[in-house]
Order: sequence, then structure tokens, then C-alpha cells
Amino acid sequence: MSAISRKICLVGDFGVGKTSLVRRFVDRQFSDKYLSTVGVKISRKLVEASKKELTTSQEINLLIWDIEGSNKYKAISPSYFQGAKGGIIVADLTREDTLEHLKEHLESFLTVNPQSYTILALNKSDLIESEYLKKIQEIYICQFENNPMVLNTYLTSAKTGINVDEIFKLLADNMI
Amino acid sequence: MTQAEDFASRNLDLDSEKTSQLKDFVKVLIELKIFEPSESLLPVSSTQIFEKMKSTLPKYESTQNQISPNDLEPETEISQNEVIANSIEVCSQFIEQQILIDDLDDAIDVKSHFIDCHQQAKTNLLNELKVSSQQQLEPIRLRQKDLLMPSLQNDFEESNVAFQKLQDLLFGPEIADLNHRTINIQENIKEIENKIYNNDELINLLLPSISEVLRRKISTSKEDIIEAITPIIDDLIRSRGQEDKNSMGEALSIAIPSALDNVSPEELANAIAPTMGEAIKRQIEIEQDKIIDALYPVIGNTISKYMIETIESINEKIEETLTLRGIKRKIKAKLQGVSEAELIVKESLSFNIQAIFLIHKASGLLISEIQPLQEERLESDMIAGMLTAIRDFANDCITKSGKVSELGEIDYGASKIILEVAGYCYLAIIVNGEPSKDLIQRMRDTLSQIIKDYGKYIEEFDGDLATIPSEIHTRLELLGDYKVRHKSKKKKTSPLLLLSLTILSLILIPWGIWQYRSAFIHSVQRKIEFALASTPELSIYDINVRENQGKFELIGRVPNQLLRDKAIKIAAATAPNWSIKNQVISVDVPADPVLAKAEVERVSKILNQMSGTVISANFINDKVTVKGYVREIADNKKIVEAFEQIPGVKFVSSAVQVKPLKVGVRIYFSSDSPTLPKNIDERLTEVKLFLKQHPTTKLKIIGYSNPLKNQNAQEIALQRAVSVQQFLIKQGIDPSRFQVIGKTHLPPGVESNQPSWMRRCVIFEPVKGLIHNS
Repeated sequence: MSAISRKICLVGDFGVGKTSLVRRFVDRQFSDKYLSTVGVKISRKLVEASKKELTTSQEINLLIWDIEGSNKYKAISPSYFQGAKGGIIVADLTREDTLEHLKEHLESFLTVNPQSYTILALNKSDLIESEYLKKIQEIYICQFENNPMVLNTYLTSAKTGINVDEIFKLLADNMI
Repeated sequence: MTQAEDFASRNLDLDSEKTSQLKDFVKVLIELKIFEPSESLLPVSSTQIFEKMKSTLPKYESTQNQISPNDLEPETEISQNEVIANSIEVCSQFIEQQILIDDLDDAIDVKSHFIDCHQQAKTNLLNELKVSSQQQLEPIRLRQKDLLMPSLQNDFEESNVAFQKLQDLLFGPEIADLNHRTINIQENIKEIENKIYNNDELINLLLPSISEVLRRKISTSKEDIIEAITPIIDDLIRSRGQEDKNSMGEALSIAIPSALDNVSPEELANAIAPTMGEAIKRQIEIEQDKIIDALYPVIGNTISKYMIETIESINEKIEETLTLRGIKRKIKAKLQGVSEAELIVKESLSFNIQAIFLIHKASGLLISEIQPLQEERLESDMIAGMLTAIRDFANDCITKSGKVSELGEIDYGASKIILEVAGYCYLAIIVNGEPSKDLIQRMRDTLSQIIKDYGKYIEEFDGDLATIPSEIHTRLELLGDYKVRHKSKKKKTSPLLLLSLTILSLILIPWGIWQYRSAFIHSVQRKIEFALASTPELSIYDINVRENQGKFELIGRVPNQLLRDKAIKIAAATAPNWSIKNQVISVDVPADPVLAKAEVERVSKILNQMSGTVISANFINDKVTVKGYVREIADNKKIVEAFEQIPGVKFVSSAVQVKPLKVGVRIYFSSDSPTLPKNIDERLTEVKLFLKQHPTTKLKIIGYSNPLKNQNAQEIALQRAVSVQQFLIKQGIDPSRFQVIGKTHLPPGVESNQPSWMRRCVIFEPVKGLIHNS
């Protein structure tokens, strides 16, 4: 069976680490330098995905749309969300406002793609003391638990690579 | 174990110090690579010396044999060895000091052989000693060991003197001889030392053989030399290079070209490549013209090749000026307000399709792709995504609200991405060069066809290519083949040929039509001719049918109007749709003169039967001359007409005289009396005859009277006429044949000056036709 293509979007405020997450996942690299994404950056990665109940796997050609982050002057253009089968809503654990915007971004994405699964990625977990992490995660898991389109909430770090592959894998598995 | 080592071990029994010294020496030799472990390598000269030495040694041996082992003082042997050892030591020290001097081959060979021989002698002696008294030797050895240190260190002089004495005692002249020889040898060694110590001498000594030494060394053990020199060779070259750049450069210049030949092109390219740009730049700075000249043939050709292609294409376009396309271009140029040349150049620059992508509009996922140029494959998924993002961006940010507009084209360098957007997908073609309008039209057509036939699949596309029908790909492939087909189409007939063909056809087609028409006309013509010929009365006449401006003309001659009319009638019946002009002339055919003459005679006979007509006709050469008399002028006409009717008579000349009927009788009356005179009967005989002769003719009886004498002259005149009439009626003549008239003027032929009786008369006048009594 040939690979099927799926579009996924990374959504979130500026500087939360969307590009870094993609870079970690696709190129296995990390850089501390901040490079603002202009418009959209598209990356591609072929992954194996499998459904829980099925033993066979399916190749998925993930087309990852790393969309320019929003700021208070400029919202994300929803037209970039069109046709996405999955979304990763990213927030920066060190910036509270970005966490607050998660809901907003999620709704914005689901408005365009009501049938698409999403994952919440609370990024830059390497910068937070581990004792706080669990607590924060619980808060957000609770917050979005009721939304059937939210698969899970993860604490991620593009720097260490924690949970990066996992979020993409989980999303891919749910897009078959 | 090498020879040297073996030798050293043997000596160990005698003297450890000496052995160690020898060992050192051997080591030095090995280090210097002067000493060669192999015996066979010994030079010939040294062997000779060895032989010489050997010849002297037996004496020495024999003397030694004579010595009883008991008397043998180890010191003697030791001290003797010591002397040699000393000299060897000196020699070795010297060699150590002169380490830089590589080869002392010959000199050392002499020395080593000398030592070798000496040692051999010693060994022989020792062996014998060993054999004769093994037990005695043991204490000697022990003593030797005990003695070794003090004797060497303290009592060297003493022992030497003792040794001398012992020698004198034991061997006497033999020893002296031996000493002498030893002294000789020492002198020789000294001389050698001198030579070695003295640089000049040494150089002189070594000079002749140094090259030979090197050569041999290289030939025997090249690797060693290489090993020895390798570590310093780069420094050597470098320092030499620093010292004298030019000569080093000269020296290397010979080898460099061939050296470069042996380098692999890749390596050479790698080495040179980084500096090429700089080098060319510098060269241009130094001498621009040279570079121009160097590149001219290449660049010239390249440019000219390109230009030729372009010009050929332009030429083609110009050639087709007169074609439909050329005219179209002219109109286009006028409409767009650009010059025609610009359009031509634009059309001439070729383009090729690099890639075709059919992309899902919303998600940017690739539905189908064509990349004809396999060697330059593009990352289609990424391009599809980015194009979609760019489209989205343009639509969001640039397009004003409420207006729907689409991104149509992206230009980059010499390439273009043309976008053609449909409902759920869009087509992107990446073109190198300037795409033709035709291509864009085809692109639109292809997209609309795809949408029409497979729009549903595209709408439902979610990234799984298996759901997309393969026909979409096939259609896009066709579009991708566009260029190829466009090229193959190029091979078309020249416009000039087309033009000439057009002209030719302009000539030929009307000609063909005309040919067909004339063939048709011809057939009609023949039909008419045939119809005319089939008519018996016309068949003998030559009537031609001619076509003139869509009309037929009958041309020919027939002898009369009747046949002429008949001819046109037949022609009209044969070709009812054609208008026919009758140009047939009816011509008189000269009739048979014999027949005509007979006819003339017959007619003149008939005419002579007419009353009052007496004619004769003469027929000569279709001319009838008529002579004779007729009663009236009208008869003359009749006669002429009658002759003219005769075929063969063309002219009728009539010389017929008119002879009217005349009754010449006049009956005169007496004055004022209507009474008939007496001889009336006689007189009227002529009248009666006339009436008889002309039964159809009537007579006017006209009475005259003289009005001057009589008042009722009119009455008298009438009565006179009636009297004559009455008389004639009495004679039995039909009264209806008479008409009576009374007149008072002068009778015809009578003048007023003539006698008056001539005026009292009745005259007769024949009248034709009915007479109405008035």
C-alpha cells in the first residue's frame, strides 16, 4: 500500500517553539536561536502509523505546516488550516499568556477542521522544574479532557526531544 | 644471529670489556649501515687484505702452539688484544665523531677484516688451548677475570713491559717480526686515521667512491635510503626554495608539467577550482584582451549558436507573415500596443515544462504530478504545500474583501509558475522560458476536462492517492507532452509554398470550374447540334452552335426564314434552360435557272390571260425583264410580284406600258337638244363591241352642254347621257353597267376657243368595279 499524505498544522503564539518542534522531529536538530517564521514553513516526513486494533501499519507522508505564530497584533490566518487532518497546538510553559491562548487556538483550528484531531504540546519543559511539571500538565489535561478532538496534552521539549516524536506519532496513528 | 654478534659472543670469553667495546663498534657500524650482516657483501679489496693477513697468521699460530699452556700468561693475550682493541676503539670513536660521513666502505672493510683475521687467529689459538687443557684453562679464566680489572686499570704499563720481555723470551725474532708488522699496521691505521681526521684528505679519499657507494646502496636497499631521507626531504625542498626561489623553480619546472599529467583530473580540478575564479579575475585585470581572445571562439560559438536558433525561429515567424498566424500576430501587436518584433521574439524564445502539479486546493496535498525532466526532480510535496500557502496568503492579504481574485502566475528568473485554479484543486505548471498562450489555453482545457470528469474524486481527496483515478495522470501527461508535440508540429510546409499553393489554387479552381462548365456547355452544344442535324430539312445546312457569355448562338445559313425559325425552335426545345440567340442568316440560294425559266414562261402565260394584258418575259441570269401592255398600273404591280415569287428570280425589271380602256367614240348633239343624232346606231357599234368585249367593265356615260348658251345646261347634259343610255339599254345591254353623269364644263380634249359644238357631246369612260347610280 502506497503512502498516503496528510496535512498537519502547528498552531500557537509566536516563539512557543513550533519551528523547533518540527526541526527536532524532522531534522533531529535543535538550536537556541530564535528565527521567526514568516508565513508558513512546510516540512515533510514519512512515518509509519498503525491503528491500535490493527497490526498492519500504514506509511503516512506527513506534510507539516509550521504556521507563523500569532501575536497581539496579528491573528493566524485560518485559511492555512484548511484541509489539515491534525493539529498540534503549542504553548510555552515559561510564558503564561501562551498557555492561556491554547483554548483560543484550539477553537480556531477546530472551526476550520471540526473533524481533525489535535494534540496540545506544552513546550520548553526542560526549563521548568520537574516538581511543577506534573501539576501544570494535570491542569491542562483536565481543561481539555472533555473535548473529544483533543487526543492528549503533552509536556514537550524540542531541546531534549522529550515527547516530540510521541506527539507526531499519536497524531499520525489517529489520522489513518 | 649476525656475524658481528657471533663474533662478539665469542670474544666474551676472553674479555668482557673488549667485547663490549667491539659490540659498541659493531653497533655503530650497524647504525651507520656500513656494516652489512651478510658475508657475501664483503668487497673484493678487503678479501685480498684478509688473504694477506692470513698468510702471516700461521706463523703466529705456530708460535702460540709452542707455548705450553702452563706458561701461558693470560695477560699476554689480553694485552695483545688490548692493543688491537685500543686501535679499534680509536677507530670507532673516530667513526662515531664522523657519523655524518656516510660511507667509509673500503676503509672500514680493510679494518674490519684485519680485526676479523686477528680474531680468527686468536680463536684458533684459544680453541687449541681449550682442547689441550680444559681444566687448566678454567683457573686461567678465573685468573683472567680477577686480573682483568687491576691489570687494565693499574698495571697496564707494567704488564706491557712484562709482555714485551715475555715475548722476547718466548718468541724472539718472530715476535719482533710480529711487532714490526703490528707497528706497520698501526702506522697504516694512523695514516688512515690521519686521512679520516683530515677533512680534505677524507674528502679526497671518499670523493671517487661516494657516488658509487650511494649507487650501490640504492641498488641494494632503496627503501633504507628512502626511509632515511623521507623525513627531511620536504624541509630540504622548503629551505632550498627559501634560499633560492628561482633556481628551485627552474629545477621543479621541468618536472611539474609531467607531474601534473599524472594527477587524476578530479584531484587537479579540486585543487585548482577554488582559485579559478580569482585567477580569471586577476588575469582580466592584468590583460583583458588575452582573456577575450581566449574565450572568443567559445563564447562566440555559444552565442552565435543561440542566436542562430533564435534568428531561425524569428525567420520562420517572418516567413509566415502572410499566413493566418502572421496576420493574427499583426492584429495582436496592434491590440496590445507592442511591436510585432517583440511578439516574434517572445514566440521565438523556447520554453519547456519542468513540472505539472495538480494540487488539492484546501490542504495543499498533491493529487498528481508530472515531471518530464527526470534529472531535475522537484520536491513536489513541499512545492505543492508552499504554493498553496502562497495562494492562501495572497488571497488573504492582498485580495480586498468581497472580491474574489486568484494568483495566476509566479515569476522567478527565467521560469514561471502558472496557476490555474478550479473549485477544489488547482493546476500549477512550472515552465522554463516564456510559455505560449497556446499552452495556457491547453492547460485550461485540461483542467476543465479533469474537473468535469473527475471533480468528485478531487473533492473527496484526503491524501490517499489510491482514490484518484489514473486518467487524471494520463491527461496531465498529455499536457506535459505539449512541448514535444509542439516541436514536431514545427516541421511544416513553408509559408511560401502555402502562398504559391494558394495562388495556384486561385488559378486552378476557377479554371477547373470553367473547364467543367465548358465541358457541360460543350455537351449541350453537341446536343443542340445533334438535334439540328437530326432534323431532315436542316441537316443539309451547316448550322453551328456557339456559346457566348452563357448564351447559345446559332450561326449558319439557311435558304429561307422558315428554316431559320425552325432551327431556333429545335434548339430551344433541346436546351430549354438556355437562352438562344438566332444568328442564322437566311440566304437565297440560286435556284435552278432551267426551272426558273420554265416557271417564268408559265407565269407570263397565266398573266397574259388577264384582260388587257399582253406581256412577254425574258429570264436572263436570275433577272426577268417584262415587256408588254397592261390595262392598268396595278396590273403591272401584280406582274412584278408574280415573277418575284419564282425561286431563282432576284430582280424583275418591268417595262410594261399601261394601255387603259378607251371608248373613243363621241356623240355630238345639236344645240339645246338631247335628241340622239340619226346615225347613232352606227356610232354606237363600237360602244356595244366594247361592252361585249369587256363584260365586267362598266361604262360612265357623261353628257356635256354649253352653260353659256343655256341656262339649264346641266339638265340638258344629263338628258343627253340618259338618251344614249336608253338607246343602249334598248339594244339589250344590262342597264346596271351604265352610269350617267351631266357636266357643263369643257369635255376632255376640247379647248374653249374651239367650236361650241364640240362642247355638246356625250363621251364614254370605262369604269372598273361596281357603278353606283348617283
